[in-house]
Amino acid sequence: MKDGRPSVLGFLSCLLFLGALCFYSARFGSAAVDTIPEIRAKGRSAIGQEVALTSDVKVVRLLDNGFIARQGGAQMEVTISDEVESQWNAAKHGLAVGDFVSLRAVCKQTGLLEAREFHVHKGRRLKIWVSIAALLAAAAILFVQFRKGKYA
Amino acid sequence: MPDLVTHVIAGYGLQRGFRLTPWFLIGAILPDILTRPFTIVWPGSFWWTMPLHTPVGLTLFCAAIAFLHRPGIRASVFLNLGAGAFLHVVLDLFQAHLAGSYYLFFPFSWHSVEIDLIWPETSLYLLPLWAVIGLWLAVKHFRQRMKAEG
Ligand SMILES: [Zn+2]
Repeated sequence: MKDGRPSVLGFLSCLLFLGALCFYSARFGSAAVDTIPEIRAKGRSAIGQEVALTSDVKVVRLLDNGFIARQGGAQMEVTISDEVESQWNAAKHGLAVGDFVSLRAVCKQTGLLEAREFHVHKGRRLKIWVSIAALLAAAAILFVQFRKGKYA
Repeated sequence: MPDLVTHVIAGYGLQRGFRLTPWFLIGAILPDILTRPFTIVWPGSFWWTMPLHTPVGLTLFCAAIAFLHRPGIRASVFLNLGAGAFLHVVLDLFQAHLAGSYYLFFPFSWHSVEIDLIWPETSLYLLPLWAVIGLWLAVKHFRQRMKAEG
Protein backbone atom coordinates (compact mmCIF):
# COMPACT_ATOMS: atom_id res chain seq x y z
CA MET A 1 0.00 0.00 0.00
CA LYS A 2 1.44 3.35 -1.08
CA ASP A 3 1.68 6.18 1.44
CA GLY A 4 -0.93 8.89 1.07
CA ARG A 5 -3.66 6.61 -0.23
CA PRO A 6 -6.86 5.35 1.41
CA SER A 7 -6.39 1.92 2.92
CA VAL A 8 -8.86 -0.41 1.25
CA LEU A 9 -7.49 -3.30 3.28
CA GLY A 10 -8.08 -1.42 6.55
CA PHE A 11 -11.59 -0.44 5.43
CA LEU A 12 -12.52 -4.00 4.43
CA SER A 13 -11.03 -5.51 7.61
CA CYS A 14 -13.16 -3.21 9.78
CA LEU A 15 -16.30 -3.98 7.77
CA LEU A 16 -15.62 -7.70 7.94
CA PHE A 17 -15.20 -7.58 11.70
CA LEU A 18 -18.34 -5.45 11.99
CA GLY A 19 -20.27 -7.91 9.81
CA ALA A 20 -19.15 -10.75 12.09
CA LEU A 21 -20.39 -8.80 15.16
CA CYS A 22 -23.78 -8.16 13.50
CA PHE A 23 -24.10 -11.84 12.68
CA TYR A 24 -23.15 -12.80 16.25
CA SER A 25 -25.73 -10.34 17.62
CA ALA A 26 -28.49 -11.60 15.29
CA ARG A 27 -27.69 -15.21 16.19
CA PHE A 28 -27.24 -14.90 19.96
CA GLY A 29 -28.78 -11.49 20.89
CA SER A 30 -30.85 -11.74 24.00
CA ALA A 31 -32.79 -9.16 26.02
CA ALA A 32 -33.90 -9.44 29.66
CA VAL A 33 -37.48 -9.67 28.36
CA ASP A 34 -38.01 -11.05 24.84
CA THR A 35 -40.54 -9.93 22.26
CA ILE A 36 -43.13 -12.45 21.02
CA PRO A 37 -41.29 -13.01 17.68
CA GLU A 38 -38.03 -13.58 19.59
CA ILE A 39 -39.67 -16.21 21.84
CA ARG A 40 -41.12 -17.95 18.77
CA ALA A 41 -37.75 -17.79 17.00
CA LYS A 42 -36.28 -19.70 19.97
CA GLY A 43 -38.88 -22.41 19.35
CA ARG A 44 -40.79 -21.68 22.58
CA SER A 45 -44.41 -20.75 23.19
CA ALA A 46 -45.10 -17.17 24.36
CA ILE A 47 -48.14 -18.25 26.40
CA GLY A 48 -47.54 -17.71 30.12
CA GLN A 49 -44.32 -15.77 29.44
CA GLU A 50 -43.52 -12.15 30.16
CA VAL A 51 -43.09 -10.35 26.86
CA ALA A 52 -41.94 -6.88 25.79
CA LEU A 53 -43.69 -4.80 23.15
CA THR A 54 -41.61 -1.69 22.79
CA SER A 55 -41.37 -0.67 19.15
CA ASP A 56 -44.19 0.84 17.13
CA VAL A 57 -47.10 -0.49 19.21
CA LYS A 58 -50.17 1.54 18.31
CA VAL A 59 -53.53 1.75 20.12
CA VAL A 60 -56.30 0.96 17.60
CA ARG A 61 -59.33 0.70 19.94
CA LEU A 62 -60.05 1.65 23.54
CA LEU A 63 -61.81 -0.78 25.89
CA ASP A 64 -63.18 -0.38 29.43
CA ASN A 65 -60.25 -2.15 31.03
CA GLY A 66 -57.57 -2.00 28.35
CA PHE A 67 -57.17 -1.49 24.64
CA ILE A 68 -56.56 -3.22 21.34
CA ALA A 69 -53.00 -2.68 20.10
CA ARG A 70 -51.36 -3.32 16.77
CA GLN A 71 -47.69 -4.04 16.18
CA GLY A 72 -46.63 -4.73 12.62
CA GLY A 73 -49.41 -6.89 11.20
CA ALA A 74 -50.41 -8.42 14.55
CA GLN A 75 -53.36 -7.16 16.59
CA MET A 76 -53.82 -8.01 20.27
CA GLU A 77 -56.06 -7.20 23.20
CA VAL A 78 -54.28 -5.73 26.20
CA THR A 79 -55.98 -6.00 29.60
CA ILE A 80 -54.79 -4.20 32.72
CA SER A 81 -53.46 -6.15 35.72
CA ASP A 82 -54.16 -5.09 39.32
CA GLU A 83 -50.53 -3.90 39.61
CA VAL A 84 -50.99 -1.15 37.05
CA GLU A 85 -54.67 -0.36 37.60
CA SER A 86 -54.03 2.99 39.29
CA GLN A 87 -51.59 3.96 36.52
CA TRP A 88 -54.21 2.92 33.95
CA ASN A 89 -56.94 4.97 35.65
CA ALA A 90 -54.71 8.02 35.52
CA ALA A 91 -53.64 7.44 31.90
CA LYS A 92 -56.83 6.24 30.23
CA HIS A 93 -58.47 9.68 29.93
CA GLY A 94 -55.57 11.00 27.89
CA LEU A 95 -55.17 7.82 25.86
CA ALA A 96 -56.43 8.04 22.28
CA VAL A 97 -56.65 5.79 19.25
CA GLY A 98 -53.39 6.19 17.29
CA ASP A 99 -51.21 6.74 20.38
CA PHE A 100 -47.97 4.75 20.64
CA VAL A 101 -47.38 2.69 23.77
CA SER A 102 -44.68 0.44 25.27
CA LEU A 103 -45.64 -2.62 27.27
CA ARG A 104 -44.30 -5.35 29.47
CA ALA A 105 -47.05 -7.94 29.69
CA VAL A 106 -47.85 -11.56 30.34
CA CYS A 107 -49.13 -13.40 27.30
CA LYS A 108 -52.36 -15.10 28.50
CA GLN A 109 -53.20 -16.64 25.14
CA THR A 110 -52.51 -15.87 21.50
CA GLY A 111 -53.67 -12.29 20.95
CA LEU A 112 -54.39 -11.60 24.64
CA LEU A 113 -51.90 -9.82 26.90
CA GLU A 114 -52.12 -8.68 30.52
CA ALA A 115 -50.11 -5.48 31.00
CA ARG A 116 -47.69 -5.42 33.95
CA GLU A 117 -46.04 -2.14 32.94
CA PHE A 118 -46.97 0.34 30.26
CA HIS A 119 -46.06 3.78 29.05
CA VAL A 120 -47.92 6.02 26.59
CA HIS A 121 -45.52 7.77 24.21
CA LYS A 122 -47.39 11.04 23.68
CA GLY A 123 -45.62 13.12 21.05
CA ARG A 124 -43.92 10.20 19.30
CA ARG A 125 -45.31 11.26 15.92
CA LEU A 126 -44.03 14.81 16.47
CA LYS A 127 -40.67 13.35 17.45
CA ILE A 128 -40.43 11.50 14.12
CA TRP A 129 -41.23 14.65 12.06
CA VAL A 130 -38.94 16.83 14.15
CA SER A 131 -36.14 14.28 13.73
CA ILE A 132 -36.59 14.28 9.94
CA ALA A 133 -36.41 18.11 9.95
CA ALA A 134 -33.25 17.97 12.10
CA LEU A 135 -31.69 15.46 9.72
CA LEU A 136 -32.32 17.78 6.76
CA ALA A 137 -30.86 20.72 8.72
CA ALA A 138 -27.76 18.65 9.58
CA ALA A 139 -27.38 17.66 5.91
CA ALA A 140 -27.55 21.34 4.89
CA ILE A 141 -24.98 22.38 7.55
CA LEU A 142 -22.63 19.56 6.49
CA PHE A 143 -23.02 20.43 2.81
CA VAL A 144 -22.00 24.04 3.50
CA GLN A 145 -19.11 23.03 5.77
CA PHE A 146 -17.65 20.46 3.36
CA ARG A 147 -18.03 22.89 0.45
CA LYS A 148 -16.01 25.43 2.41
CA GLY A 149 -13.29 22.79 2.63
CA LYS A 150 -13.52 22.22 6.39
CA TYR A 151 -12.68 18.62 5.81
CA ALA A 152 -10.51 17.32 8.61
CA MET B 1 -32.84 8.04 21.22
CA PRO B 2 -33.78 11.57 22.16
CA ASP B 3 -35.13 13.30 19.07
CA LEU B 4 -32.48 14.05 16.44
CA VAL B 5 -32.83 17.79 17.11
CA THR B 6 -31.18 17.23 20.49
CA HIS B 7 -28.35 15.26 18.87
CA VAL B 8 -27.90 17.77 16.03
CA ILE B 9 -27.91 20.85 18.32
CA ALA B 10 -25.55 19.23 20.84
CA GLY B 11 -23.26 18.03 18.02
CA TYR B 12 -23.28 21.35 16.16
CA GLY B 13 -22.86 23.41 19.34
CA LEU B 14 -19.82 21.41 20.50
CA GLN B 15 -18.39 21.31 16.98
CA ARG B 16 -18.51 25.12 16.74
CA GLY B 17 -17.49 25.65 20.37
CA PHE B 18 -14.39 23.46 20.19
CA ARG B 19 -13.63 24.13 16.49
CA LEU B 20 -14.06 20.46 15.58
CA THR B 21 -14.49 19.19 12.03
CA PRO B 22 -17.81 18.33 10.29
CA TRP B 23 -17.06 14.69 11.05
CA PHE B 24 -17.97 15.38 14.68
CA LEU B 25 -21.51 16.43 13.67
CA ILE B 26 -21.81 13.34 11.46
CA GLY B 27 -20.70 11.20 14.43
CA ALA B 28 -23.32 12.84 16.66
CA ILE B 29 -26.14 11.47 14.48
CA LEU B 30 -24.33 8.39 13.13
CA PRO B 31 -25.66 5.68 15.52
CA ASP B 32 -29.30 6.45 14.69
CA ILE B 33 -28.64 6.87 10.96
CA LEU B 34 -27.06 3.40 10.92
CA THR B 35 -29.85 1.68 12.85
CA ARG B 36 -33.20 3.50 12.99
CA PRO B 37 -34.19 3.35 9.29
CA PHE B 38 -33.81 -0.44 9.42
CA THR B 39 -35.69 -0.99 12.68
CA ILE B 40 -38.54 1.34 11.59
CA VAL B 41 -39.03 -0.45 8.27
CA TRP B 42 -38.31 -3.93 9.64
CA PRO B 43 -38.53 -4.15 13.47
CA GLY B 44 -37.24 -7.74 13.29
CA SER B 45 -33.84 -6.40 12.21
CA PHE B 46 -33.09 -5.03 15.71
CA TRP B 47 -30.41 -7.59 16.63
CA TRP B 48 -28.76 -7.32 13.19
CA THR B 49 -28.20 -3.57 13.51
CA MET B 50 -27.83 -3.37 17.32
CA PRO B 51 -23.96 -3.57 17.21
CA LEU B 52 -23.94 -0.34 15.18
CA HIS B 53 -25.27 1.50 18.25
CA THR B 54 -22.60 0.14 20.63
CA PRO B 55 -19.13 1.53 21.46
CA VAL B 56 -17.26 -1.43 19.89
CA GLY B 57 -19.37 -1.44 16.69
CA LEU B 58 -19.16 2.34 16.32
CA THR B 59 -15.38 2.31 16.84
CA LEU B 60 -15.06 -0.21 14.00
CA PHE B 61 -17.39 1.79 11.75
CA CYS B 62 -15.52 5.05 12.44
CA ALA B 63 -12.20 3.28 11.76
CA ALA B 64 -13.61 1.93 8.46
CA ILE B 65 -14.57 5.47 7.36
CA ALA B 66 -11.17 6.83 8.50
CA PHE B 67 -9.35 4.20 6.41
CA LEU B 68 -11.06 5.65 3.32
CA HIS B 69 -9.00 8.82 3.85
CA ARG B 70 -5.32 9.52 3.26
CA PRO B 71 -3.05 8.91 6.27
CA GLY B 72 -2.51 12.64 6.88
CA ILE B 73 -6.12 13.23 7.95
CA ARG B 74 -7.06 9.68 8.96
CA ALA B 75 -6.57 10.20 12.71
CA SER B 76 -8.52 13.46 12.63
CA VAL B 77 -11.47 11.86 10.80
CA PHE B 78 -11.47 8.92 13.23
CA LEU B 79 -11.24 11.05 16.38
CA ASN B 80 -13.88 13.57 15.33
CA LEU B 81 -16.33 10.94 14.08
CA GLY B 82 -15.70 8.75 17.15
CA ALA B 83 -16.09 11.66 19.61
CA GLY B 84 -19.40 12.64 17.96
CA ALA B 85 -20.66 9.06 18.20
CA PHE B 86 -19.54 8.94 21.86
CA LEU B 87 -21.58 12.09 22.56
CA HIS B 88 -24.61 10.43 20.93
CA VAL B 89 -24.30 7.31 23.07
CA VAL B 90 -23.90 9.39 26.26
CA LEU B 91 -27.03 11.47 25.48
CA ASP B 92 -29.04 8.32 24.71
CA LEU B 93 -28.10 6.84 28.09
CA PHE B 94 -30.27 9.35 29.96
CA GLN B 95 -33.44 7.76 28.59
CA ALA B 96 -35.84 5.23 30.04
CA HIS B 97 -37.29 2.22 28.22
CA LEU B 98 -39.59 -0.51 29.53
CA ALA B 99 -37.31 -3.17 28.03
CA GLY B 100 -34.15 -3.42 25.94
CA SER B 101 -32.06 -0.30 26.35
CA TYR B 102 -28.41 0.11 25.30
CA TYR B 103 -25.94 -2.77 25.05
CA LEU B 104 -22.84 -0.80 26.00
CA PHE B 105 -20.70 -3.84 26.76
CA PHE B 106 -21.50 -5.78 23.57
CA PRO B 107 -19.99 -8.20 22.49
CA PHE B 108 -18.72 -9.03 25.99
CA SER B 109 -22.10 -8.91 27.74
CA TRP B 110 -25.81 -8.83 26.88
CA HIS B 111 -26.48 -6.62 29.88
CA SER B 112 -28.28 -3.44 28.77
CA VAL B 113 -27.71 -0.12 30.48
CA GLU B 114 -29.40 3.27 30.84
CA ILE B 115 -29.82 6.00 33.46
CA ASP B 116 -33.67 5.98 33.27
CA LEU B 117 -34.00 9.75 33.64
CA ILE B 118 -36.39 10.74 30.82
CA TRP B 119 -38.72 9.00 28.38
CA PRO B 120 -37.51 9.14 24.75
CA GLU B 121 -40.13 11.76 23.82
CA THR B 122 -39.52 14.02 26.86
CA SER B 123 -36.67 15.80 25.09
CA LEU B 124 -39.34 17.37 22.83
CA TYR B 125 -40.14 19.78 25.68
CA LEU B 126 -36.70 21.28 25.07
CA LEU B 127 -37.64 22.18 21.47
CA PRO B 128 -38.32 25.89 22.22
CA LEU B 129 -34.90 26.12 23.88
CA TRP B 130 -33.22 24.48 20.87
CA ALA B 131 -35.09 26.83 18.52
CA VAL B 132 -33.78 29.89 20.43
CA ILE B 133 -30.21 28.51 20.45
CA GLY B 134 -30.47 27.68 16.72
CA LEU B 135 -31.69 31.21 15.95
CA TRP B 136 -28.91 32.74 18.04
CA LEU B 137 -26.25 30.64 16.23
CA ALA B 138 -27.71 31.61 12.84
CA VAL B 139 -27.71 35.34 13.71
CA LYS B 140 -24.13 35.05 15.01
CA HIS B 141 -23.06 33.24 11.83
CA PHE B 142 -24.57 35.88 9.51
CA ARG B 143 -23.13 38.75 11.56
CA GLN B 144 -19.66 37.19 11.31
CA ARG B 145 -20.11 36.73 7.57
CA MET B 146 -21.24 40.29 7.05
CA LYS B 147 -18.28 41.53 9.11
CA ALA B 148 -15.87 39.42 7.03
CA GLU B 149 -17.40 40.65 3.76
CA GLY B 150 -17.76 44.30 4.80
ZN1 LIG C 1 -29.43 6.74 19.39
